[in-house]
Amino acid sequence: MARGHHAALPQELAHRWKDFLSDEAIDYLAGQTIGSNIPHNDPNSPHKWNAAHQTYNPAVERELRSFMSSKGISQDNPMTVRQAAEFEARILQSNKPEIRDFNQSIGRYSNEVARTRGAGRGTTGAKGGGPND
Amino acid sequence: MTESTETRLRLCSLLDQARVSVRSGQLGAARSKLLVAISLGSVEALIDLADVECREENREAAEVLLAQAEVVASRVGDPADYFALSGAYQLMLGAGTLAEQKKKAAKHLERAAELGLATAQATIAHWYRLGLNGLQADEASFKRWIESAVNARDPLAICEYVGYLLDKGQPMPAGLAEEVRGLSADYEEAKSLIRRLPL
Repeated sequence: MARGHHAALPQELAHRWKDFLSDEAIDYLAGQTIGSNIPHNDPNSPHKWNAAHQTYNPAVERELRSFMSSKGISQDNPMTVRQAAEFEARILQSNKPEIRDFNQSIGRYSNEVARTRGAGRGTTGAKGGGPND
Repeated sequence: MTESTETRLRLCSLLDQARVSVRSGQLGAARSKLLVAISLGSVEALIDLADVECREENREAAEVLLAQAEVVASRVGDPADYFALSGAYQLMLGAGTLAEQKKKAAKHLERAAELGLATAQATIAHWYRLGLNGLQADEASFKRWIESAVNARDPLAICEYVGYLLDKGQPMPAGLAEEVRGLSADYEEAKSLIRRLPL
């Protein structure tokens, strides 16, 4: 499973709305993540801030309902991959504070993890041989 | 305290203050803090200012700031700056289409990996393994980067590589299983592998 935060459609919503998404749209949305370098159970990760996530998910769900309504998406006419990408862009470019602030906080924490781990930089490029050699 | 440490601390403080201002909707105050940080050479401040511009619907100005961030990053050569640029494009702070921005995100992430940032190597390997964020799944590229990140002892890379070897039924290099056991107290990724490890 992909690591990180599924910004466009959190897994809880993907599960709840799966009948309105084509299989291809589900696969597409599952493959779009931010913060893939953050360990799953990192206690400092914004992803673990339940209060923020509890505000984020309903805000994304409101956007989803509005998007589906405007596109005529239904169980008989599920979301296509193209529509999933359009929805993803809408979420990533949203200026609603509960969406934008949360995604930005994930991005910033991801950068912080990278800077913290920068001290343990590895081989330059991929010149090394196999692990442990 | 060295001058660079002092500058880094000052930059962190400016960025923190700017982010508090953004969250409280005081974009003007955020802008003035970020401009000071930019004058100190901060790529992250350029990216944060691009976010402020996006909040004000000035996407073209954001794109200019990201281009400026790319110039500073190439001059300084700090892989963490390329990592941050990758994040900026993942969050669509630029002006291009979704596909264009994902391409830039992958390009900057790969550059951070080339410059030796282990967490970037582990991340791009993960993307290549699963075909994430617009990249096609590519086993050769996955192996290229995961091996570098494992050599740098990146914990997530170790877990991912061990998972890959177990999935493929391939032999485990000496000591790797023990490392995963050692990581399991702190990393859920390691914990979920434990029961699959050879005794």
